[in-house]
Amino acid sequence: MKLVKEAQVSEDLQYHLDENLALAENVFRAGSSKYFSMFNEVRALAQAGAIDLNEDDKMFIFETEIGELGHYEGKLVHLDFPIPEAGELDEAEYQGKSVKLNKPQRGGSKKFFVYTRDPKSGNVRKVSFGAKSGGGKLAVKLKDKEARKNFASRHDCENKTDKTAASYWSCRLPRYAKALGLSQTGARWW
Amino acid sequence: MVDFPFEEQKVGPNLFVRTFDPSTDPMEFVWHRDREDRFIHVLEGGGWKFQYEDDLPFELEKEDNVIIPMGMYHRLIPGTGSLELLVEKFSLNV
Repeated sequence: MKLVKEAQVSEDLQYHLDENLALAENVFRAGSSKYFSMFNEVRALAQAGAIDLNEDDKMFIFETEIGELGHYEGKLVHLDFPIPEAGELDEAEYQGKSVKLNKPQRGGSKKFFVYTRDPKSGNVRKVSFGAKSGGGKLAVKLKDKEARKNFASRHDCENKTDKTAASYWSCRLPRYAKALGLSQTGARWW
Repeated sequence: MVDFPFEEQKVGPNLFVRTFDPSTDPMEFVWHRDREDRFIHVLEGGGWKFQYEDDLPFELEKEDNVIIPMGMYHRLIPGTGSLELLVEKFSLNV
């Protein structure tokens, strides 16, 4: 990210600019209030033509509504933010030993869901995607270059533009990898 | 049981010395919460950073003290040298 016009920015955004961090490398915890505020601040600057973004960040800002809230079944939800079904991680004590709780593990659940706005109706929909590894066809294989290539080709990722379809989100999962604490690939598609 | 990305030595009741290796995969240092308050005293900083939820990261320097309230998300960001912390846990269940 780079400012191309003079603009007043928050201390948080200034930190990202100083550290040369992309929006996809948001330093705040994915799902925290500052995490979403960063997207909203950058979106406002981008719409004013005041900030230069890389391709992935343009996707977050112009293609998604991440940072925005919508109503789903009577509750406010964050839009276009994939959530692992594995849950959160805590450090805890079990029988005198430290244990990690609910850390997504290899072989564990690889399912995600996302709330997104249906452009036809304007309503928010919940989209589930991914599969359990060990037999699931969409198991997360971010480190496997050949698997990513085959997936992108098989699912025609470049032409998937319907955010209400599971395939849209499965194709774009690598872009969320860092934010979600998954392995890094450097890939835009699978 | 799961391996943690640090070596731990118990040095007293509720008191531990934890050593972190800078060559550990940074992805190991995930955001997490603890089930008790913790008092951290930095023995060696090694260029590591600490970050509370909704705050910017700050560098841990030798002799720094950090309090981590129970239930507050936090994480470590690896530096270039070893990080050594004295950790005191304030839990009746420890």
